[in-house]
Amino acid sequence: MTSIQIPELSFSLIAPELILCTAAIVILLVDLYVKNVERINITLLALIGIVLAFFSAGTLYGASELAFSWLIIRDDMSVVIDQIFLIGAALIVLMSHHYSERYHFPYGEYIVLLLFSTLGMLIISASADLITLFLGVELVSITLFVLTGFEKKSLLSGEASLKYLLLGAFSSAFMVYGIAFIFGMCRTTNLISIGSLLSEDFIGSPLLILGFALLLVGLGFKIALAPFHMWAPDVYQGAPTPITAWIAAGSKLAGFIALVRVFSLPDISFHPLARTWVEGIWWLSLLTMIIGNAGALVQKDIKRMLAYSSIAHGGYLSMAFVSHNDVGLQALLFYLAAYLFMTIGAFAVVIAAGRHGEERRRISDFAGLAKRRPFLAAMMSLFLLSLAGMPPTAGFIGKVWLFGSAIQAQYYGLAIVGILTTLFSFYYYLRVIVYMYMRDEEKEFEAEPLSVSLTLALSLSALGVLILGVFPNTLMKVITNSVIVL
Amino acid sequence: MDTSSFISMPAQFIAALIFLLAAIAFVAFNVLVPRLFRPIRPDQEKLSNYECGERPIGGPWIRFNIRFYIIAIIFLIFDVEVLFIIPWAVVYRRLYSELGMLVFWEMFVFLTVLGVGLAYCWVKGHLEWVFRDKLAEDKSKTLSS
Repeated sequence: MTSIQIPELSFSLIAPELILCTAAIVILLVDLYVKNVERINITLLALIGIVLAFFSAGTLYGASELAFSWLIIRDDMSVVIDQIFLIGAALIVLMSHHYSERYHFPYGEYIVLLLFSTLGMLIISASADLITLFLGVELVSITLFVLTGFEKKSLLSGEASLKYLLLGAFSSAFMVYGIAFIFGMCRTTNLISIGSLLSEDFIGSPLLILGFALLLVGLGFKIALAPFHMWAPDVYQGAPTPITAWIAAGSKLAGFIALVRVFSLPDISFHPLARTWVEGIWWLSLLTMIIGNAGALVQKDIKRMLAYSSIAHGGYLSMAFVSHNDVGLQALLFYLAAYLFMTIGAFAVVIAAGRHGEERRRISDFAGLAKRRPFLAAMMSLFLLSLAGMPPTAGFIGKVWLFGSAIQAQYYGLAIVGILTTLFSFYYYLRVIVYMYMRDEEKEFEAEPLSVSLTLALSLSALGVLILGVFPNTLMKVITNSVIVL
Repeated sequence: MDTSSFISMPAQFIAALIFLLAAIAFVAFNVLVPRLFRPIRPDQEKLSNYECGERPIGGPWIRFNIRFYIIAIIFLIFDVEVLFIIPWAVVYRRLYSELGMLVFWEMFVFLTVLGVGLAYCWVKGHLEWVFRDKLAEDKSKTLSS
C-alpha cells in the first residue's frame, strides 16, 4: 500500500477566510445561547470579524503561492479583491443594522448568512481550481437565496426568493455541466493546469468550447448579462434593501472575479480558443449595455431602475474581457471597486429616505426630497452622477479606463456603443435628481431620524466614490502592481 | 465541422456512450416487446396505486408537512458525516504515526462545525416532531407576565 499523500497545509494563506468563518460561527452561537442579545453587540462582533479579516488580508501582500494542493491561489490580485469585498460587507452590515430595526428580522441569523456569503466571495477570489470556484459561487448563491426571502411578511420578498432560487439552481446546473466537459477534455479541474495544457497544444474539440460556453452561461446568469438577466429586476425589487445592495454589488463583483479567474488564464491570451470566447462576450456585452439602459429608461420603481442600471454596468464591465489585455483587467478591478461604493451608497439612500411601512419605492416618491432631507438628496445625487459617469467621481475614471482598454484593443464599435448608451443613461439618472430638486412633494413622508450606522455607511460610500474619483492613483497603483504579478 | 477534431476525444467517452446506448436499448426492449405479446385486461384493482399490497387511502397529490424535508436535510448532514468518519477511522493509526495529532484535530474541527449545526437545530426545536414556536411562546409569556 502506498502511503497517503497529505498536501501541505498553509493556514496562514487563508487567514482572512478562517477569521470570517470563525466570526460567523461565534455569532451563531451567541445568538443561540445568550438570551436577549442586543442587536448592536451582534453588529459589533460582525464588524470586528470583518476588520480583523481585512487586516489579515493586508499582511498577505506580496505572497504569490498556490496552497492546498493547488486549490487556492494567493496572489496580490486576490488580496486586493478580498479587501474590496470586506469593505463592502462592512457597509452592508451597517445598513442592515438600521434596516433590521425597522422590520424586526431574526438579526443574528441574518448577519451569519451575510458573513457566510462574504466568505463565499473570498473563496472565489482565491480559487485556483474549478471545484473551489464552484464551492464559492454556491456559498454566495445559497446564502443570498435565503437572505432575499427574509422579509417573511412581504409577498414580493417571497416571490423574489423563489425566482432567485429556481434560476440560480438552473444556472448552477449549467456551470457544473460546463465544468464536467472541461474536466472530460483536460482531465483536470485545476485552472493553472488547464491553462498550461491549452497553451501547449490546441485541443480542437468542440466539446471543450461547449464546456467553456456553458460555464460562461452559468456565470452570465449570476452577473445578469443579457439575455440571462430576466431574474434581476424582480429579485432586486423584492429583496430587503440591504440585500439588494449586496446582490447588486457583492454578488456581481464575485461573478466577475470568477470570470477573471476562468477567462484570463495566463499563457492562453493568444490561444485560438480565446478568440471564440472574446467573440461570445462581445455579443453579450453589446446586448447587455443596450437592454440594461433601455430597460432602465422606462422604470417607475427606484429599485427596479437601479437593477437595470446594474445590468447595464455588467455590460460595461464585461467589455474588459473583450479587450482581453492587462489594461482591461486593471480597469475592471478599479471599476468594480468604484461600482461597489456607488451602488451600496445609492441603496443606502433608498433605505434612509423611507421608514417602517412607508418606503419610498417609486421614483416620483423622491419628489421634493431636497427640501425635506437636503443631506440625503445631495448624497443620492452624488451616487447617481457617479453611476452615470460624471467627472469628479469614481464612475468617470472607471468608465474612461474601461472604454480606453476597448479602444486600445481596437474594438471601436463596442467602445462607441458603450459611450452612446452611457449618454442615454444620463436621462434616467438625472430624472431622479430632477424629481428630488425641482418637483414638489406629491405625498407627505414622515421623516425617520438618520441613525448613526446608516450615516456611517452613507458617508463611507460617499468618501469612497470621491476619493477614487479625485485621487484615483491610490487604488490604481495597487491594482496595476497586482495585475502585473499575474 | 471536420471529423479529425472528434478523434482527439478520449477513448473512455466512447465506452460511456456505448454504456448509455445499451441502457436505453435495454429499457426500450423490456417495455416495448412485452406490449406486443401480453393480454391487456385492466380492472379497478389493477389500475389503482400500488402501496405494498395495502388499499391506498386517498391520492398521492397531497401537501406534505415541510418538517419531512427539514428532518431529511438533518439526516443527510449526519449521513455524510459518517461517510467521512469511517475512512478516517480506518486509516487513523497509520496517519497518526506519520502526522501526529494533526489527524485528530482535523476531524475534531469538522465535528465541531457539524456540532454547531446540531446545536442550532436543537435550540430552534427542529429535533422535536411537534414543533413549538419558541419565539411566539416567549412573546406570549412576556405579555402575560
